[in-house]
Amino acid sequence: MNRTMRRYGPTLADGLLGHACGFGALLAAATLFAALFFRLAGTGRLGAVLIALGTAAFAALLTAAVGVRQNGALIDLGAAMALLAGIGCAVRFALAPAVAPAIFGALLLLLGVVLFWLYGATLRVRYHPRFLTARQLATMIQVADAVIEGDGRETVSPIQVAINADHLLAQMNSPATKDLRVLMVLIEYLLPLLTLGRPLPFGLLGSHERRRAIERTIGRKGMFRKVARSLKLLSMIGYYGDPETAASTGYIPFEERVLDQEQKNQTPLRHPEPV
Amino acid sequence: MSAARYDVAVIGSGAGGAVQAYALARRGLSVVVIERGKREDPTTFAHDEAVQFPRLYKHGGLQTTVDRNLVIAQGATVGGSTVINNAIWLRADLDYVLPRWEQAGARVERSDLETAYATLEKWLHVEPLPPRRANHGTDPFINGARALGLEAGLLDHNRNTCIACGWCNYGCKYNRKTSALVTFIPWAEQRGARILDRCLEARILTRGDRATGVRFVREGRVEEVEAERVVVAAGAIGSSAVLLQSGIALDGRVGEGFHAFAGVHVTAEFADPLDSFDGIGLCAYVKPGLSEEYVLENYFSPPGVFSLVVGGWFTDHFERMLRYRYFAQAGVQVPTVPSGRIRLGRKGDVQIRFSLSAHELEVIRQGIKALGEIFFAGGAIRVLPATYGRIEFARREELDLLGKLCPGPDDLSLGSAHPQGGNLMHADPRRGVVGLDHKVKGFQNLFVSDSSVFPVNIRANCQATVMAMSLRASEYVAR
Repeated sequence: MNRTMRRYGPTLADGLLGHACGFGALLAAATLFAALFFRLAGTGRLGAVLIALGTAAFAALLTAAVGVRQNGALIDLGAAMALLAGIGCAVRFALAPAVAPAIFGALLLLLGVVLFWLYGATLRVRYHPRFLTARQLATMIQVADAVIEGDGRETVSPIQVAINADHLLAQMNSPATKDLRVLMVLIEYLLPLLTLGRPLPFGLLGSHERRRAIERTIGRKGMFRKVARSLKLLSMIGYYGDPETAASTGYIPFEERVLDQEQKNQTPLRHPEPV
Repeated sequence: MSAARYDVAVIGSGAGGAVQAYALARRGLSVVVIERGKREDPTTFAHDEAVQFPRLYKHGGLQTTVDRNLVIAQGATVGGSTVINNAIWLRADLDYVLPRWEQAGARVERSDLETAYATLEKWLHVEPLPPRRANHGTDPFINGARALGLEAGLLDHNRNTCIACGWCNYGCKYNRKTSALVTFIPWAEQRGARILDRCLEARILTRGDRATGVRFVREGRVEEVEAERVVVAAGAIGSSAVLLQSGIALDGRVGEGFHAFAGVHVTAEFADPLDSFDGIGLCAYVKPGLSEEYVLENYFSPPGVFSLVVGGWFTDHFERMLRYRYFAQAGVQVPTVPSGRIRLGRKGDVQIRFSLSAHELEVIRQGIKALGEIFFAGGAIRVLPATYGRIEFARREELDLLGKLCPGPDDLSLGSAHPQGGNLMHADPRRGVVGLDHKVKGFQNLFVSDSSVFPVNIRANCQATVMAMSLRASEYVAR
């Protein structure tokens, strides 16, 4: 396992993503403006839906762009809203062809696709996941953040825990690893709904709520237990399997122990065939 | 494609396959060993769990039963589980095992096994484990057991001048453990045997009642070897899978009767640091009586695996791990009845269908309680079984609450490193998978030689008995 990659600073892709979020917020605002004052989607339900989507996309992307709360789930949410608003414009165009819905629709759809891709790219460029997808890795980071709770005494960051787990899974030849991939998706999009009754992605929850979601998972029976066990497995092996953490538990590597004369001779033995 | 021709093709290179390969090569037979895992250079082994698990373990250590309640650890490398085991040499108690085997239709002569044990012990440098190399949690375990009047002591092991780094389960980089990788495999090669590693999708080729060779995929290419005799020694689970994948099901008998020597860890906290990580992980045991249904062995592991068997979550778990130096550990293992099955799923995937019975669970709980009493008698201030939730006992009397706190199998963190059965031995031609001569029913020249043939659990760590049975089986294969 390559353990050299330990720095996770901002990259060019991060900068581009920030600009894309800003541009997206402006585009969403323009869509909203056009929908309100120029009847972009006409009147009636479609117009109302478009206004709602434009508002949601604007709020999410603006929040992400100004860095108040820039996280993956928020960008994903903004991108999804932009895509839906784009589809709304396309429907409007199909019902009554006009220039404005065509332009807005195309721009919004493009924005949605670019944001999805760009967010994934920032994660890939920064963390180089080997097994999980960029989004699954983001979920694993959030899981590790919630599960490894040392009140500031942690020696390894949740990012490193997730990367350790990802690199480990990449080397394993096991059918179980595929299940763990699916598990990450389920945690991101279903766990908050099933445990807290909140239809939001896991990454969009605050750290306190994420912990609550996992606590409730632990407290339930059946499949929830298997989910909780898997989360513990990935988090623990990612955290305590890291040599830096091992030292923090008091573990002393063999070479650093007080060794007697026999132990100092570490030459590998050969075992001749018995005659 | 012209296939190479051998007297014997052995599928698997672990305790069963490696002994078989050497014993047959020693008789002058040409042998090829077909191994799924990679051949590793021990000097490159690292003291790093995250590196060694994917390198040496089957499924990277994630092999479980279908219900996910039991983790089953097996090696997947040249040398098989002998590379990752604790090098404990524990002869099965033949007074316990042989009558049970006979009752299950498999009469094996005591003298056959005793002779094989003795030969192997000479070859593998088996000796009593030296006290100075035992991990530091061993004394409280032995002292606690003796204080309760139990017969406890250090085990025998197959190591030569062990320097006790405590990383036996991740491959011995100093070659002190006499695993098959550094003994039987090179010895067989010296006698002309050929070892083929990274052979995937091994299938036995058959014509009528004869096995004619083995087909497998190596480095993306389909290859075949022809052989006069084929020995399947891919371990419990693996051997049943190879037979089933080769279309040999024997009316559903292949894969039936899977069982395990399974259990849980119990961790004990002491007031002063013990540094149990310093020394050999598995060192001592409490000798079970003839009627006893569990075996107690002490054990300790590096922080990664240790963190998985320590119960609790969040801050509570974190705090416990900060006291890693203060812990000793042991395990209770229970011989289960042959009630499991190895099956192929619709996509050809191998499924282990096995659950512990209510009685077996109760025996495990009794064992946990016994370990708790031993550790308290040895001076522990707290006892923590490997449970799903946070459970710890601060007094002996509290151990009685275990049944209430852990009613089901998923309340415990169950594991086994000693799977058995699936190709049961039986004298009756219409029952079991192999006869007393290890020959697969209905075949002239196809054999199984590993723990999958054990008709009833041996109630002991498997290595010694798998090797002894394999050495015995080589007599039949060579005929």
